[in-house]
Amino acid sequence: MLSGLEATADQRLGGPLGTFDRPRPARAELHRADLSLPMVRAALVSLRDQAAALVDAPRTDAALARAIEQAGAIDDPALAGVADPASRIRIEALRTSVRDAHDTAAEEIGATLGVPAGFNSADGD
Amino acid sequence: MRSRRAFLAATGAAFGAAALPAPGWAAFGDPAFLAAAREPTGAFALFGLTAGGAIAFRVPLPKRGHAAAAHPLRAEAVAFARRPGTFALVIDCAGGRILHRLEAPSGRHFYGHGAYLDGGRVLATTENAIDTGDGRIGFWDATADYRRMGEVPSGGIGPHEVVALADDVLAVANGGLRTHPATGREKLNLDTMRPNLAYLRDGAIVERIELPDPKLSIRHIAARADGMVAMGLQSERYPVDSVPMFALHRLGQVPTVHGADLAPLFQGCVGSVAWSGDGQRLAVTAPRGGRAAIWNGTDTEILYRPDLCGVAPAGAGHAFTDGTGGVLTETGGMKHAVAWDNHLVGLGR
Repeated sequence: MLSGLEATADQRLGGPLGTFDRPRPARAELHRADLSLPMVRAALVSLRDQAAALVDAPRTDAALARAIEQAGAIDDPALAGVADPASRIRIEALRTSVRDAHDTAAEEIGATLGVPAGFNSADGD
Repeated sequence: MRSRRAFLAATGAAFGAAALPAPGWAAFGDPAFLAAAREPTGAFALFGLTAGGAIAFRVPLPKRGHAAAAHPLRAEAVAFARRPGTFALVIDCAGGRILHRLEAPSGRHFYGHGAYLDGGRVLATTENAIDTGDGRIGFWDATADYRRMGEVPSGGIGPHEVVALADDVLAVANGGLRTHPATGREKLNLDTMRPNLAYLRDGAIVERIELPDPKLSIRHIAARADGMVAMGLQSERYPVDSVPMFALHRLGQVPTVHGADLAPLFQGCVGSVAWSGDGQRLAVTAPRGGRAAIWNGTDTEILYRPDLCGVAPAGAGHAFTDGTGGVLTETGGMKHAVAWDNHLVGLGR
């Protein structure tokens, strides 16, 4: 589930976003079929179901709901707007929300399953 | 204070002690590795793992562990508390019993690692002389209920990992960072830190080397059969600075530093190092970077795992453990419902 969120942030959104100076709209998944954004939304919806099936994780659910709502509010199915500074900012914001959901899930679901993230990385040796 | 001569005499006496009983490791679930972990209940334990990554045995620990040292002959291991711990437990891995409890002497605490010397007759531990901050190597007599034999200077501040080389030479990673139990794990001397790698023979320092950059704490080391010591580094510079992440040294030679390109990915922190079983490759793990680099002297392969830290030789290659419960061996992967703690210790079998 975490890797699904990572892939959505880094590849489905990060791919076309590229850098500010060099956006890569052609890297958007299924952009010719106008399915790039629907793919993002579908991934988020299914990841939300998956999270709900794992454990009771209200903060993760809320974070995913927020990202799904944001995805629904963007009217740009092929994510072509990455090249336009005005619309790009909303796609970047969506990516930030997906990353937030990832971090929330890592912490909340990890803690519930008894394997908090960062057991080794958090506080040195 | 005890003279070095008296100390060596005492050591000599221990070396002459009677042969050890040896109900070897094979009898008990055939473990190939040891690793400490936190369990889902929040309890801590030391586990034996088979070559395939399955759990061979489990012994509860009173607090969070760190590393362990395996006796070369007996099915016996010492589990060290996470620094600044004052206890280490000698565990009978056969029955899961605690055989001895090592208490750090007054004014000392353990730094989390130790190594057996002289065919398992002596245990060496890294310690802090709390008042002065000087590093110490403590010696314990494994033939006499782990009686404290004495201690010698480690050659620096903040000794962390110690490993035994051939001919009972000890290599000590003096991390250079002073800590005091009163301030927990806070680093007290970042401005003046001077880590080193020291070699001790019969309790005396025979060589000591420093790396060009004093802000790289030498914390974890692994020795190859030919005496090549690999050092895992932890940068006290900015995490994104391209500073070396590991270094190599052999007695009498000049150290070399490597892996500066890895530092940003590693967030400047190496958690553990191990040579492959065939000695051809070095693995350095980066728990903050969620990855390990496996280096063959020219090329680097990257292994991605969240919270990856433990690594040990396994077969011709390596085995890894991570904080999400994963065990990756040469033959495949397994996942257990625990968080594996920093170090995976190979039993050399």
